[in-house]
Amino acid sequence: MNNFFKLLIALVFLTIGQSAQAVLEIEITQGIEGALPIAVVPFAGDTYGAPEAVETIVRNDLGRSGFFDVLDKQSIPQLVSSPSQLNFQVWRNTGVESVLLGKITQTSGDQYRIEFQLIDLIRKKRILGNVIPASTKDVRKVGHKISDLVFEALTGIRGAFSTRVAYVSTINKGTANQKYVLQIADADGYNARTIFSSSKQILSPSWSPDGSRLAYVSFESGNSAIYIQDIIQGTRAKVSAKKGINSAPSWSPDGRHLALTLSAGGSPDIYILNIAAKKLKRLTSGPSIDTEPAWMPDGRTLLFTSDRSGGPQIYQVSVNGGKAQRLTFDGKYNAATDVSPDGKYITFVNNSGNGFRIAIMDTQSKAMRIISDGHLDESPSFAPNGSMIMYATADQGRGVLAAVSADGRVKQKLRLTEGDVREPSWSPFR
Amino acid sequence: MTKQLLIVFIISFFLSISACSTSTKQMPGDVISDDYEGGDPSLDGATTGLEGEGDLAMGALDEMIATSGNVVYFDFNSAEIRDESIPLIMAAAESLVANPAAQLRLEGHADERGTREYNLALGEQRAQTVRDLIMLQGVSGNQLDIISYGEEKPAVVGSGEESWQQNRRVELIK
Repeated sequence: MNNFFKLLIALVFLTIGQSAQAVLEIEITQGIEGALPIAVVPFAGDTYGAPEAVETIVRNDLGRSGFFDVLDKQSIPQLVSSPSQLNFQVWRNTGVESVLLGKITQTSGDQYRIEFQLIDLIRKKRILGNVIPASTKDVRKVGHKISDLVFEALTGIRGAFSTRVAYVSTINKGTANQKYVLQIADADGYNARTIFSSSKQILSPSWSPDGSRLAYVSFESGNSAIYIQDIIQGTRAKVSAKKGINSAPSWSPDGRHLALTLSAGGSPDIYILNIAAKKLKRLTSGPSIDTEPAWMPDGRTLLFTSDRSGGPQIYQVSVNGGKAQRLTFDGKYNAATDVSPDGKYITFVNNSGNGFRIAIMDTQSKAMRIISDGHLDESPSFAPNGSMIMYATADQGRGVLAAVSADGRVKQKLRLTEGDVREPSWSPFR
Repeated sequence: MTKQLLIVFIISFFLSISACSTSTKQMPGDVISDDYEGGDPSLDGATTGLEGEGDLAMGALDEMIATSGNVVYFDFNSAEIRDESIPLIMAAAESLVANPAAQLRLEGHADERGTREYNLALGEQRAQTVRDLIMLQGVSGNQLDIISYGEEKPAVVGSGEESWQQNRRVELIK
């Protein structure tokens, strides 16, 4: 029982303005042995960015990653901001092995200096020290940046806290004003902004590898069509509007191609579109449903969902075509795969009889593990560092985003205050 | 897939012999009738749409829709036509053959379970199965238009088989 104790931390951020539109809940669903014990001490002089605190942002980022066991704020033995003030004896009792200290000073008007240091309490030495100049509107950016640096210093893995997520939300659902919006938010659900809005359905956002564009499906012209939108300029272009289904765009690692699903040939098949040349290459054929293509990081292989064996399963095929090879065999429903950035794992929707849940599979050993516990979980998307998976789940009848550490240990829900949210797609690194 | 087509062939052959008697007998006692007749506002909406201005009269289909709605329902993750839907599809075919200028739009849908893109494909497959059976009766493909909305346009909002079974459907829209 101790191994499966449940710790629920509800962190409610009641702030003013746009960044207040989210409630983040972190639920640690299994024991946290193995996670690195760390303390984040409130930064001295931290009225900067109030009511948000840099320290709180960092604490949440590290805690939800699954890599850290963050000491409760109340258990912090010393509220200090410089390593010289540390009483190592006092800290020893907390079991914490590293501590983040910081200090914020106002340099002029709205300009601040955010200093921070990461101290190894065992070896009694500094692991990391840095200064970030920033204005108050950048408080969350600063917090995520510090989290990225701490994460990388202690795990050796690049932090992904400064990344974003794209998703589709239905607003005013079931009313005359029902609207579909394509939004981009910080990876923790904050700072949501709408980049496209329509009275017709929007589906399947996919990031370009440089994070500057999104491909997605819109029904605005009546039938499904694929668009590419530059998220900075706001310009958009229709890239596929054939008879039948135009869907499931997935950007190639080199940014020059889109894998997509078209049914103009009779049944849904996988094609590769050369974006600049506007040339299509067909990869699959036959009467079965072939859809949801995803690229392997080498750009030479595509994974996709096919019902050629009866129910939906994941297959892989060379970008040059040829015979597809089946990858999944556990469960009667495996679909909508996404590949980890190193290509070692794939995540997908699995149904083995207990509902639709998120699974992760080692591409070499083919060992599969279920890492979510909902009934209608879908659209899994890897973080660009492979450490976490974002997916859509139902929460009291409403669509919300959830994230789970790749080991399945830490789960969290991102509750956006408005809309029925689905189809998250985690951005690449900036 | 081929098995499915074969079944469609067999069923349609059988029905070409007995379509008339079946179509009047089978509907009222059907297992789905309680849930589907009059209880679903979106079906009412669709029926209203059918009586729009300037439409060609489609006697057999109009009659069928008036008594039992314009929707073909499916099992989970299946595009196979159930026996209970055959009379509606045959009535549609009969009307389209009689009115070569008439058009019919087949809107395929899926329930919320499973992935969105797969469901988009499944909705199309359902609409295609209905189209194929109509065309087998001698209807020109030009008279039929297909669109899939996957799970994006549920007839009934809510989770559970009660809702799901009403969302796995193809709507026949004049």
